[in-house]
Amino acid sequence: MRPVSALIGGLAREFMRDRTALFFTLLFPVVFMLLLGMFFAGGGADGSEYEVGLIDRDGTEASAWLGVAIESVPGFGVSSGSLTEEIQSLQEGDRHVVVEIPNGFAASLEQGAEASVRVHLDPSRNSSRQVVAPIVEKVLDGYDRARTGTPRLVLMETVSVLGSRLRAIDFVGPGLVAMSVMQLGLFGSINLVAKREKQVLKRLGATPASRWMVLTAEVLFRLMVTAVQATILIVILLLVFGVAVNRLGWLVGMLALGALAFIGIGYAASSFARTEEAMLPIVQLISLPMLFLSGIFFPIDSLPGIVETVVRTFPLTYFGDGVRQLMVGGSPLNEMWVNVVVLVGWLAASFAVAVRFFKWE
Amino acid sequence: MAVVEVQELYKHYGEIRAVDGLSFEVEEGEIFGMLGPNGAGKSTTVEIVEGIRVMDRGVVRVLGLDPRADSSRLRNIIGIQLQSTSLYPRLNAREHLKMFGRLYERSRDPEEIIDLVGLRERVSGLAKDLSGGQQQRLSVGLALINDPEVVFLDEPTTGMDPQARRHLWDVVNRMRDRGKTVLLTTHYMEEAEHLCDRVAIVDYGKIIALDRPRRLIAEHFAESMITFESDGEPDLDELQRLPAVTSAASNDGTVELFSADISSTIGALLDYAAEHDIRIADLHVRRATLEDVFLKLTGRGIRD
Repeated sequence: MRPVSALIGGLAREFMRDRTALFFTLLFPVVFMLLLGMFFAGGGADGSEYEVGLIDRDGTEASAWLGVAIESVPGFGVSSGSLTEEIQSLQEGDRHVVVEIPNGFAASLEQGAEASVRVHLDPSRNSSRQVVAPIVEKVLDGYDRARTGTPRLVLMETVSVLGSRLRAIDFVGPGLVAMSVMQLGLFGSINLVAKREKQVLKRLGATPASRWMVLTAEVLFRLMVTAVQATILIVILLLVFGVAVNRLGWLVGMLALGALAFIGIGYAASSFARTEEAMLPIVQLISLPMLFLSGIFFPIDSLPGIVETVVRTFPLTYFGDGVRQLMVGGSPLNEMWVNVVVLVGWLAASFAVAVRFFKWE
Repeated sequence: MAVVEVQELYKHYGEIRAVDGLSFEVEEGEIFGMLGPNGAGKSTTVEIVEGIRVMDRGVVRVLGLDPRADSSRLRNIIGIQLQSTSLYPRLNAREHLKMFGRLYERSRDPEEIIDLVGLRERVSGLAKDLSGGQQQRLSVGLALINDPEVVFLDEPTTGMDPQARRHLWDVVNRMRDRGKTVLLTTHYMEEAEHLCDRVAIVDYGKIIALDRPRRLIAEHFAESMITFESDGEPDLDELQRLPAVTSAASNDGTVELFSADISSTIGALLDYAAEHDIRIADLHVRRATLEDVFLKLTGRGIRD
């Protein structure tokens, strides 16, 4: 394995000296993730979409439970303060609504009297008026029914593609990780084509190193770069956006499987390109449809039937779903074993093509 | 002992017969040159002998091994320099030599090779920043890193200035001094003449002559060549009748006479010129070269 480590050393040196490659493979995805993350996270410190100020003037067990009920709404970030502070935050646009539980709230309920919970909002903000206030009203309604024990006979069952607890960043974040792993795998093949075009591969073929050693070194090096990039992205998601990583061990395996599959697809495609210039559009032809249609940015159930059928063949569809399930859970697109089997299939097929059609020159 | 044996080697690319029945042997410790124009089939032949190209038919043995079947054993004991420089653009000379050294079972000290090919001053320059000649020298150095028994150099001095070329000839001569065998291709006549113990002249995939350079010349040209320029149109038939002249030709105003006896021919030539009031300029006498041999054998110049 001495030749393989020597070749990896050479690749790593070249990579570290190539500022363009460094930027596009390592830094750019991070910048992209931070930008998109900010956008999807809505700027909230704890990643909440809607900021709710809560003033509990009552301070009873009854009022506390109402607070918990409000806090448990997905996408609500609740903060508490004095009325003046919260109203000021509302005026500055830092709160969507401020919920004020009045003094004597519990007492009124005890007596069977009406208790009014005040919801302050800026009517000019659509999201406050149309989204947050109705949700608060629903919470109050549910609270009321639960307290009086009135059974609810007509129920609404919400079937969400996102999974009930998922925020947008929880959906997009793992998708971005999958996307970066794909890009890195596919674009790595351009480097291989360049080396073949400049006859560096032919030169290596003139040494005792076998094609297996050369390919192994290439693949291992690509895996290392992928590992570094995926780690950076996942740590950002975890620490900056609070996205969960539920099953780390399995996730590492899934990332390695996906990375290998995309490296293989890239290498298989590279067998059919003579020059670096010819390879670039091929890689883009493979990657762009997957980027936009594989459910990275939106669920693929919302696609028209024929398109969905096509999208169902994309490896990124399964890889993205697998990564998402292992990170944040949520409603799966496929059973996990389906994801694994499809990716293993792509991996085997692509490497078979890559090895079969591999050319030194 | 023959280190390289090639018998009846054929390689076709579609209709083109790149190698058309070549046979030769390279003896241990000799510098063997294949001389011919671009496209003559030199590189194809060498790459088949190296085992990186597949032949159509024929027999090839290097150090008694089959270049394809025994390639992993053979690659460890031969050194290969390709016609293209084929370097990693962002690695420097030392890194190249270290990395390639680790691909072989044995390796010479990279520092020794750096001094040998004269890259000490540019040792830490990235390959993409080196001049063409420096890249070429590094690529020759890489062919020597495993201290090979046989070295194959495909057009090693292309793109080099005359000084670098002479330096590389020294490197090759030192290989021979170490008892190694060198098989090189070139389209430089001087290189073949000065460097090679034996030369095979290759044209259209065939060897049309094979011998020591001096014997090739002596065999085809017993005479020396007298060339001069003149203002008038000298009569070639009359020049042909001058003493000891075996043939006369005119080429763009330059007259070439082959003579078996230079002194009698020149004396007669000067008398002839005075008699006919012809001004003779740029009179030269030279031995025939491989270029003349090539011209005589093929009817065209090597760079035509």
